[in-house]
Order: sequence, then C-alpha cells, then structure tokens
Amino acid sequence: MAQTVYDPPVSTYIPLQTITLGSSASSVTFASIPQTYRDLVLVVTVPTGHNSGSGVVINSDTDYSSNYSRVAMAGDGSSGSSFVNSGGGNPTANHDLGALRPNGQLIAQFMDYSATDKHKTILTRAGGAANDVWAVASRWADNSAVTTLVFSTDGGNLPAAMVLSLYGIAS
Amino acid sequence: MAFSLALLGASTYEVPVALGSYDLLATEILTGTSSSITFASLGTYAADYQHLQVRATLGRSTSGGDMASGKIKLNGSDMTKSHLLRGYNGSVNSYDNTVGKFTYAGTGSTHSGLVIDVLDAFSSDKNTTIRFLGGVAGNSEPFVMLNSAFWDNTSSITSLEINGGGPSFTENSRLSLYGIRKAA
Repeated sequence: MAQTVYDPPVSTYIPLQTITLGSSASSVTFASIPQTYRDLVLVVTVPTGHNSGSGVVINSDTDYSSNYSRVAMAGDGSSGSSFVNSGGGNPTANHDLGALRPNGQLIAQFMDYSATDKHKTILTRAGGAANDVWAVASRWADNSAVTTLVFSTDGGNLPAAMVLSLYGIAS
Repeated sequence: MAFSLALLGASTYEVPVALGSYDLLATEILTGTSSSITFASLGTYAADYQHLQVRATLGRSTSGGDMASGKIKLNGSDMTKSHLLRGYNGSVNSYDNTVGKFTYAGTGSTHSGLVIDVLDAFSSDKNTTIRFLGGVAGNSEPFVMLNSAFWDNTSSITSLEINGGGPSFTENSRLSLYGIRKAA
C-alpha cells in the first residue's frame, strides 16, 4: 500500500463539459465520460422559478428499487429532517440527488466513479437560500465504472437557463 | 425532449483546460487493511499552496455495526474540538467531541465518501479549522454528515493523519491529497 507522491504535482479539477439549456428539456446527458479521472463533480445552478427534486440515472440503469439508495438531511430554517430512500420505495426519491430550488445550486461529488472494485457513493450539497439546505449521500450498487450520467427532475422538465458543469479530478 | 450535446455535434471532452489552481499531490489505495493513513512532509507545499483537500472512499474492516468514528490528527496531535451534524436513519442529530472525529462506514463493495477541507493549512498566525462532508447510503446504517473541527494551535501543518479510530480501513479504500494554490 505504497503512497504515490506526485512530484511535480498534477494539475487537475478539469472542466469536461458545460451545458446551458437554451430551452426546457426533460433530461441532460453526459455521455462517453472519460475514464482518466478518479472523481467527478457536477455543478448545477437553478434559475428563478424552478422548484423540484432532481434525479440521476447512471449507465442507463433504471433498476431504481435495487440499485439506487440515498440518505438525506435537510433544514428549512425551522427544523431539520432526515430520511432514507431505498429498496423499492419511490423510485424518484431513490435516485434524487437533492432539491433544485429557485436561484439555488446543487453540487454532487461522484467518488471513485472510474473504479471497478466498489459501489459508487455520491455526496451532494444542494438547496436555495429562500427554501432549504440539503446534504445527501447516495449509492449506486454496482461496481461498474460510470460512463454515462442522465440528469433530470422528479417531474416535468429542467428549465431553460439551467447550467450544468461536469469536472474531472485525477488521483 | 432530452438534451444532449451530441445532438449539436459538439466536441465535449477532447480539449479539457487545465487552469492550474487545484493540484493532485499524493494518493494511496490500500492493498490491505490499515489503521491509519498519513500524508507527511507537507511543509514542502507551504510556499505554493493555501488550502489542502483530502478526498477518500473508505470501508471499515471490523464487524459489529457499520458506523465507526475516525479522527484526524495534525502534526501528530488530536484536534481540539469538533462538531458533527448527522442525518441517520430518519433523524438529525448533532454531537461535539474533544477530537476531530468523523463518521465512516461500509463493508464489501460499499464505501463511504469523505471530503475534508483544511483551510489556510500553512498559516502560522491562526488556529486551524477543517471541515468534512461524508456519508454512505444503502448499508445497514446509512448516514450523511457535515462536520467541522478546530485545532488550538497556530503551527503550520506538516502532517495530516486520517485514523480509523479503532477499526481499520479496508483494502481498496482510497485517499488522495490535493492542494489549492496561493495567488501569485
């Protein structure tokens, strides 16, 4: 278990793709994601007027009841709450990374997305200052490397002017 | 209608731009269990970097409950104080500790995610604060946590230890150290 020290250090946190929606869309796809990084970071900014949950489908896997689960923690200014969605619950909630609030943001960290020896854990912070704040841990129960992400909402469309940026972090 | 850049024929990944402010410094992927991992000789980074970040996926080696309390040591010393906000199995709780504790879990293919930010790591005029985001879902004890820890010491950081706190980290656990550069 040797530790690799990079000398010189390796510049990373590389912007891979940014999508700005010119009109509403049911989903956004990041396809053929390169496998040369260790983690992915997805940054989503939400325009005024949109308020929904989010959803992610990995590698076209729609077996929500078996392969997607999450634990969420949220605070709305008066109380905190936590809930778990897994194993045959609401399929949208199972793969919901966190809330998409008006003028809000969502930042999801896909840890070890290119590894093939572990399930994929996703850490997300989300929310909007006028609504609530979220922290979510999600898991895709599959050892496969992530090659495709499809981002959507729990109903309706993603709005025009939403911006989604994907970054790669090497290790 | 689904939206994809492929529809526009756009080139997406061919020319990533390296801005050069966030650097990979070191990585360790465990080939066996380990009770702790230390990133040492960090003083060599003091001239070029302002902040440090650790990104990790961690499994725990021992049975008897999934969640474990790891801790952070700076320069070989425990942190002075920490506060943890944790969502766990339907409730939100907060705890304080006299060392820099964090929660991790996961057996088999399941690993916790953990991101640690060490702010102003090489400052010698203020105490050091670190913060954590971590969690895992779908195991027997799913949790998500936000945590901060305080080190009542103004020394520049020379080593950072991530300690399993009793249980060991499993084979295939991964820990990487990154530096965020100072302004020129």
